[in-house]
Parts: sequence; C-alpha cells; structure tokens
Amino acid sequence: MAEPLLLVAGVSKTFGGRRPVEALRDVSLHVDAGDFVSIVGPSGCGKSTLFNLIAGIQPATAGELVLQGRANPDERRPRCGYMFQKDLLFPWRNVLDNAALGLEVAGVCSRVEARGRAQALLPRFGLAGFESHHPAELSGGMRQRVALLRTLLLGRPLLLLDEPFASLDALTRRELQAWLRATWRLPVRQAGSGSEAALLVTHDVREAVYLSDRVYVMSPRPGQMVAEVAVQRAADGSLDALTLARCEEEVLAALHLEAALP
Amino acid sequence: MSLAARGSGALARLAAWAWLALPPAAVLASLFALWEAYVELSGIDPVTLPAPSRILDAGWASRDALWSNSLVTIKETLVGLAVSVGLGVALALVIDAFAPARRALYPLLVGSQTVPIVVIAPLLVLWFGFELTPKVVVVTLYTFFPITVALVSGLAATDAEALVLMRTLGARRLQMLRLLQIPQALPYLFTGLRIAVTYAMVGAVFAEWSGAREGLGIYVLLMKNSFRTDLVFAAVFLIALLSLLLFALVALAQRLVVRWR
Repeated sequence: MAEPLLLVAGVSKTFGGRRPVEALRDVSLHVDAGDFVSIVGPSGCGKSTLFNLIAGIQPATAGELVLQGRANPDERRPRCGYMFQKDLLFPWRNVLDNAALGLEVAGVCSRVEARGRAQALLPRFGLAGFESHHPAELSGGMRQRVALLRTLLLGRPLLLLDEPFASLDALTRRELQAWLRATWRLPVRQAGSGSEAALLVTHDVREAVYLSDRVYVMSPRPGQMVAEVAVQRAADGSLDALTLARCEEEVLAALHLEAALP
Repeated sequence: MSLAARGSGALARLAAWAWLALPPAAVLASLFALWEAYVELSGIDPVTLPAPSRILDAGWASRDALWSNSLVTIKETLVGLAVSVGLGVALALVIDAFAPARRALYPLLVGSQTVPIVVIAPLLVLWFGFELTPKVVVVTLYTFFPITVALVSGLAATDAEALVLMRTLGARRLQMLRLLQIPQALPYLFTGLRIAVTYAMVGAVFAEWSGAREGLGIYVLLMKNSFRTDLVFAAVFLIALLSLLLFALVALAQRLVVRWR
C-alpha cells in the first residue's frame, strides 16, 4: 500500500508551565490522498492542538508527524491549508482582497493575478457580485465561505478544517455542509494543484459522518483515539440514510463508552 | 438607494449633528450672555474683565495681527505633531517587536510625562533659540506619549488567531505588520492622535510664551503686558477654536481612513 498523505504516529503533547497540562496522549491516525477524514470529540479534547501540531505551529512533545514524507514542521506548514473556527477575515479588506490574502502573502503571483483567481471562483462560492463588500456586510455563512475560499485558493495538499461551521446557525450549517461536500476538491483542481485530502475537526457527529470517508473518535482530555469508524459510501460518494444512521450510532457509542470510564 | 432615501439620509445626518452641537452651543451662549450682563451691570473695569462684545470688537479690529500670529502657531503645531507621529510610530514598532525594548522604554516614556515642561521650556529657548525648534520640541513632548501608547496597545490588540493564520499562510514579520497589525492598529492610532491634538496647540502657545518673536503665545504675553485684556481673551478664544478645528480635521481623517468601522 502506498504511503499515506499524512501519518500521525504516537503523538503526545503536554503543555509546560508550573502545572503541566497533558493535552494529547499517544494519538495515531492517517489520511490517504483523496480522503475526507473527520475527528470527533468533546470540547477540550485537544482537537485543535492536534491541528496545530500537524500544521507545524506548535512542536509535539513526543511522536511522529509526517506529511507528504516531510517531518520538519517548517516543511509541513506550507503544505497545510488551515481553516479556523473564526473566519478571521480582515475587516479593512473587501471580499476579493480577503480571499486573495493567502496568495498575496505567499507571493506566488502578483496582487492583480491573485484577485483574478479569487474573482474566477466567487460564483462557485455563492459570492458573485459581493467582491467589493466588506466582511461586516456579509452573513455568517458568506463570511465562512470567503474564509474557505481563502484557504482553498492556496491549493495546499492537506486541508485542515477546525470546526468551520460551529459558529453558524443550524440551517446555514446544513447548507454549507452539503456545499462543502460538493466543493472541497473542485476549485483548485482547475488551477492545477488541488487539495488532495481534508481533515475536519468537529463535535457534531452527524456532520462528521455526513462529510467523511472515515471518522476518528477522541476521548476527553488527555485526548486519545478511542475508535475509528469507516463510512461506506457508494461509488459516486453518496451515502444512504441507513449507513449514515448506523455510523452515527457507532460514533456515539464510542463517545459514550469513553464518557462512562473514570 | 433612491434619491428620496438619500435626501432623508442627509436630513437624518443633519438632525444628528444638531443633536450633538446644539446643547454645548446653548450652554456656551448662556454663559456668554451671563458674562455680558455681569460686566454691564457691575460696571467692572474692562481691563480687568472685558465683555464678550468688546472682545469680539477688539479681536476683529486686530484681525491681521491675530491671523499672522496664528499662522506661526499653526505651523509649529503641525510640525510638532508630524514629529510626534513619526517618533510615536517608530517607538511603538520597536516596543511591539522587542519585549526587552518594552521593559526598557515604557518606564522612561511614562517618566518623560512627569517632566515639568514649565521648567524645561525656557531652557529649550536657551539651547535652541527663538525659532521653530524649541516649539517643536515642546509640542512633541506634549503629544508623542498618547500617540505611542495608543499605537502600542493597538499593535498588541492583534487577534492571536489572526497571527496564527498569517503564520500558516507563510507570512514574514514585515508582512504581518503591513497586512495585519498596522491596519488593525489604525483606529487606535487615531484615538491617540485625537488626544494629542487637543494638547498640541497649547504646547506651541506655551513654548512661545517662554520666548519667541511671533506666534499667539508671545502675542498674548505682549497684550497682557500692555493691559489689552480684551485682545488676550480674543487670542485665547482663537486658540480654542483652532484646536477644535484641528480635532475635527483628525476626526475627518479617521473617517476617511478607517472606513470599515
């Protein structure tokens, strides 16, 4: 079998200080090219910490993280497209300039070219006609779509989605989930280098199952992997209601089992 | 937006303005009326306390002198403010970038504000002469502190997650400053600037008071010494008016630059 895109093996993270906090203990997972993988866990189980380790923003205390064969954090960072729970749009930039921010920073192309690439994708992101609006004028769902566009435009191999829909209302959320499922690989494929896999962190079990090929379940702090649930999808990627319900139950069972332990 | 809506928008703005401007104007008008009545009824010597009407007349009669002296003071104020902004921005950037600099400089900055400028100003005249330099130094001493402190807080108030975002995007230190920290600190800079401009002209006037050839400060001193209390008052009102104008200009600039708030 080919080497996975991302390999996390036996990773632990303890935050130092006078009272050390053990955030992650012996976490292992893998993401293959083409996968959409989710991590489900209760609040404070260290999901976001795990993302920071993968993206090379914080060092791991122990264990191995390899992304596309690179273990060095400085080489992993530019291979991750990180999307945060908060949209983190800059209020002084309009939609187009916010979306183009990543390209502008990376200096892969001129500012004009960066805006052009963002412009071309606005319709697919439901943002056509909003290019010169400022974030304060947009709804929460639109803001989150701009943030995702900013991330996807970079065309980095691994997408890290940290509860991107957590702050949205239930309806907008469902709409965006369906849309993400259809969109996440598309845009940048056109531009040549697409994202090859996505890793989503969420505490919404249905969201995880609905979007993913596989779901990892994490325990409360210190975060450990307690289960891995494979979601059997049809060849076209669709999911029947029965499988959805069964997988959901499996994930819930794993979460409950863990909650019952001391 | 339809024309009608636009018109009613302008009307609403006008109403909002009136709502803001009328109360202080009314209080001021009544104070002046009381003042006028008191001078009229008590028969007090106008050299001791001239009536507002007399101040207005005298000021109008001496408008050429007031204006030419104002120009000098305005120039000193603006140059001093420009130096302050430059100094404040430089200090704030250094303090934000290097934690040791913060610890080393911050106490000194606060200390600099305890220096009694009353005592220093005559010395400055001694060192730098009667021209522009000592005035600029005094204005700068008065105004760089609020600018620096405001900008330091602005730079420090940058969302920690936004900094992480910039890191994941691969931003270098200068890009972080240029694309994130400085734009987000601009509203803070303007807050500091608004405080600074209220001191700035007073600083310039005071510096002139300590020694100058021209300017409203030295004008006030000369008029006082020749018992033209009415012209002293006229100059004082002019200084207040010019300061307000400066404040309004900064507020306007803020609205033009910080459009996203």
